[in-house]
Amino acid sequence: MKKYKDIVGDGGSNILAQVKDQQRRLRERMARIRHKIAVVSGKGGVGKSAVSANLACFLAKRGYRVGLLDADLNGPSIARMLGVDHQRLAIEPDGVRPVTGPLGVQVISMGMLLDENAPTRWKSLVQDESFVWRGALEAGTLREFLSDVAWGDLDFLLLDLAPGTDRISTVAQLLPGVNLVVLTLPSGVSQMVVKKSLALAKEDHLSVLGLVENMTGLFPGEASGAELAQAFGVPFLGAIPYDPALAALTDQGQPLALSSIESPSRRALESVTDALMEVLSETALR
Amino acid sequence: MKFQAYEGPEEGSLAIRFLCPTCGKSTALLTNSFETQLVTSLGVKIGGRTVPPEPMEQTRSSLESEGGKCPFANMLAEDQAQAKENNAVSWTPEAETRLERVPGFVRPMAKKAIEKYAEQKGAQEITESLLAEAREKIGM
Repeated sequence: MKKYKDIVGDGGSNILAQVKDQQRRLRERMARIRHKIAVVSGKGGVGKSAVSANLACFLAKRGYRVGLLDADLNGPSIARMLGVDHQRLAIEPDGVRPVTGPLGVQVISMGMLLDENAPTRWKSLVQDESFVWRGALEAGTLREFLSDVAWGDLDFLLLDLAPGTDRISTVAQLLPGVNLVVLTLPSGVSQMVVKKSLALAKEDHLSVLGLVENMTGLFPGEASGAELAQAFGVPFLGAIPYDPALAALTDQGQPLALSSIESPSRRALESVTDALMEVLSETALR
Repeated sequence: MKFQAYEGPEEGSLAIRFLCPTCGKSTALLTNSFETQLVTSLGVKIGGRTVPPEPMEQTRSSLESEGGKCPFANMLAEDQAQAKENNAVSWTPEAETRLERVPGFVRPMAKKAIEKYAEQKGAQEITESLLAEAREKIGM
């Protein structure tokens, strides 16, 4: 009979090889996507999801092949914002087939895996200590959203990240070379947190495509997003004015790119899309 | 070694006791829930892989479903699927009902032991009487 010391390595699980295989699958899947962009803030409630959803649609309207990954695993909202919240995912030999949203945007969200009103809960053998494993399980799901979804060939994959600067580090480790678009509100509190995200990006040498200010005009004595961008030496992609109509459309699952409404927020989103394309073309030339 | 008894699961750990029929010594198998959870959280398969992972395997197996599930339920389902694939000995509905009474976390092991006993006897079908006989012979 074998004794404990007779068991070589990890007893046949070959964990290292399994982890390397996960990384290989992720690399191969991502190699078919030209631009990977994470929409981040650090601060919650700044409109990351609404801006991500609308940006994805404006890019798709220009003829680009776009995917949108809702990386907010505990508060998924992208599916609702794009009107695909009642669609379910299908498993195919090549991976999980994402849902096709407006203008052909490929969408995946934790919301598609959960029943309505069901919170995201993780199984744990030791429930009292489930908080210990939650981070690892969330990172595992994010990895699978990237590697096990049949994204196909895309020009853009946008990731709508949950609040928290730690999420930026997670995505940067999973996706080396990912580009960031940082979102802020024109408020002192928002900027205070966003500065931490920008500082983290700088310290970790992450690529920041630019800063977007959202809900401009909502706060009295606003802090300037353009000045914040300048202070950190990153491009300012534009300011999107506060627009209740945009919020209403988003609630109804209708992206602005599909509607014929002419509004300052629509023009601002188009302008942010232009600025993003310009920065990307400059980056490509470097 | 013969299966003798189990205790738990308590706080995510299970103890299974085996008895040596010759010398009468007992050996306990203790599962360490922390180690198991730590490795599982990496999205790897303990014991190694024989087939490539299913798409989003970790997410699907880690998400809590409505009403909760025994952590061994997936293992049982896999075992049953494998048994079907291999055209293993069949179970009469009555024998299956009796097997259902065995606690879920030791059921796969009990099922395997009974099927092995049936194979050794050359039986094609596991009936209630064969089940009772197996219980007596292999000490369940």
